[in-house]
Amino acid sequence: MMKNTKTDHDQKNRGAALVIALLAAVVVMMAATLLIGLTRRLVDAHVGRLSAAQVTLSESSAADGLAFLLSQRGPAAASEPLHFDLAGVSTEFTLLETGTAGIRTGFYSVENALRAMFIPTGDRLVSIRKINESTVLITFFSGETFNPTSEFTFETDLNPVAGTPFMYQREEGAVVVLEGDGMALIAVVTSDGIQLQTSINSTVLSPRSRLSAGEASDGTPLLIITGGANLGTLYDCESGEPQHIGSPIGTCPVFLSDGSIFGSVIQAYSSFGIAHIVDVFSGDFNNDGMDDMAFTTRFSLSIYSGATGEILRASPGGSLTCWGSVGGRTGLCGMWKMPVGDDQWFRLGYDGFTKFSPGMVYELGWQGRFQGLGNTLTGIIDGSAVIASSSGYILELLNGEIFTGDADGGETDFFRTTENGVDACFNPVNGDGIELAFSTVNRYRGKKTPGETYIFSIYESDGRIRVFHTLEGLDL
Amino acid sequence: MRKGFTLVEVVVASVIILVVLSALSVALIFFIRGGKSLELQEGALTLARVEIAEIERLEEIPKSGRTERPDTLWGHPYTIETTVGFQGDNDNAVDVFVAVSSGDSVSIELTRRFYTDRNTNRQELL
Repeated sequence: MMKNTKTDHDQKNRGAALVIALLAAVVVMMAATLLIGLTRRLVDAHVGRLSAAQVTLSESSAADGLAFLLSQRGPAAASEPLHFDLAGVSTEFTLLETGTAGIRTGFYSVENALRAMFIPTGDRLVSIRKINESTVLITFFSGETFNPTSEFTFETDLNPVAGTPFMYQREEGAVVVLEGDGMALIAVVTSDGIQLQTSINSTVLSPRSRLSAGEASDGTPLLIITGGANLGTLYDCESGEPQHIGSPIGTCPVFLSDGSIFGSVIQAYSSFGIAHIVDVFSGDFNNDGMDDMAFTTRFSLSIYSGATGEILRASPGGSLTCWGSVGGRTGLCGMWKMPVGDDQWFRLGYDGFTKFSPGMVYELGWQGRFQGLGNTLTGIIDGSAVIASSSGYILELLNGEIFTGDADGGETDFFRTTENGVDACFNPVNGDGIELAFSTVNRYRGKKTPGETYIFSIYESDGRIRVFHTLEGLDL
Repeated sequence: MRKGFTLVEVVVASVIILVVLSALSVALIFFIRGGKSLELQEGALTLARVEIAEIERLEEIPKSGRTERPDTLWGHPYTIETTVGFQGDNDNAVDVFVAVSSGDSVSIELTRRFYTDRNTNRQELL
C-alpha cells in the first residue's frame, strides 16, 4: 500500500511539473501570438493608411478632372457617366443635385491687413506689408482657395507705397515701388521671390501718380509712373534709368493690353496739370476686335482706338461723375453733372460720343467706374459695391474701403480691406453661377469606399467657363 | 522519499520551454524588425504626403522631369524622387509620382494627377 502511495505521489509530482511547463508554454505562446497579431495589425493599419492616402489623392485628382471637364464642356458634361482612374483607384461621380451658385465671394486672411498694400495681379492677390523696421513681407494668395501660395521677406528700410500687376517671364507678379528718406526702390516680384530691384536717388511718386508696367522689346521690365496727368517717367526696372514720357492731354502714358506703350519718349507734349487722370481701363469699346484704352479726367472721357490710333473725347462741359462700359447694351458711356440743367449722358457711337437717355439702372447714383453686361451693372453707390439690374433688383455686395482689380482671372472683382484680411466679391457683373453637387465612390483592390461630396460652382464670363469646387460643408 | 523532478521531467519541460522561447524570440525579432520597418514606412508615407501637399499648395505644376532630394524624418534618412510628366493620351493631364525610399527595403509611391489648359512647362492648376 505504501509503495502504491509513493508511486501515485511521484506521478502527481511528475504531472505537476509537466502542467507547470505546459502552462508556462501556453502563456509564452499566447504572448508570442499576441505579439505577432499586434505586428500584423500594425502592418494592416499601415497598409490601410497607404491605401487611404492614394484613394484620397486619386479622388482629389478625379475632382480636378471633373472640374476640367466642366470647364471645357459646361454643365452638360455632368449628364455623362463620370469616372476617373488613377493608380488603381477608380472614382465614380454621381450627380446629386443642381442649383444656383450665387455670386462668388471669398476671404483672404492677412494679419494687420489695414497696414498692408494689396495688388490683384490677374489670378492672384499679392499683399505687401512692412512687418518691422527693416523687413517687408510679400505674400501671394490663390484666387481659387484664398490661401497663401508663396511668401517671402524683403530686407529694406523703405516703405511699400504703390504697385501694379506685371507678367515677368510668363509668370504673374507685380512691380512694387518702395520709398523713404528721399530715395526709392523699384522691385519686380513673382511668387518665386524678388526677381529684380533697382534704386533711385529720389522719390518717384506723387499722390496722384498712376503706375503701369510692361516689357521692352528685349524683355526688360519697364515701369511708367505718371505725375497724375499726361506726363510721366519711364523707368528701366533693371538699371533704374529714367526717360521722360508723355501722351496727349486728357490721357496718360500707359502700357496697352498688347504690351505696346501708349505715349512717346521722343515727342514732346505740353504739360496740362489740371487734366488729372482719374481712371484708365481697357476693352474693345468700338467693337473692332482690337482692345482700346479709355481715360477719364474730372471733366472728360477719352478713348484711344487700338486699331486706328485715333483719340475720341467727350467733354460736354460738366463734371464727369460716373462712367463705364456695358457690354451688349450702351457700350462705353459716362454721365456729366452740368453746372446748369439736367445731367447728361454720352455714349460712344460709330463716329464719336453721342448723347443718350439711359435706363433707370444707370441713374441709381453710381460713383466712378461701373461695369455692366446686358441689363446688369456693378459699381460703387454711396461708398458700397452694388449690383443692380434694370428689373429693379439691387444688392449691396461690400461696403467700406473698397478697391477693385482682378484676382481670379475673370472680370473686375471688388475687395474690402478689414482688420484681419480682405473680403472679395468676384466678377459680380456675370451674376450667379450654376452649382452641381456630386457624391463619389472609390473602388480600390476590390474594395468599395464612399468618398466626399463635391460641390462644383460654374461661372461663365467672356465665353470662358470657370469652375471652382469645394467639399460639402467647407466654406472656402 | 526524494522530492523534486526526475531528469526526464526536466528534459521534457526544458524542451517545451526551449521550443516556446524560440517561438517567442522569433516573434520578438519579427516584432522589432517589423516595428522598425513600419516606422520607416510611416515616415516615407508622411514625406510622400507632405511632398504632394506642397505641390498642391503651390497651385503650380512643377516642371516636367525627375528630381531627387534627400530628407530626414525621425532621425531616418530618406530619398524623395518626384517625377512629373504629361499623361500619354491627355495633353491636359499631368501626373506627379512621388516615391520616397530609405535604403533598398522601404519605398512608398503616391500619384496625383493635375489638370491644366496650357501645354507649357509652368502651368497653373485647374
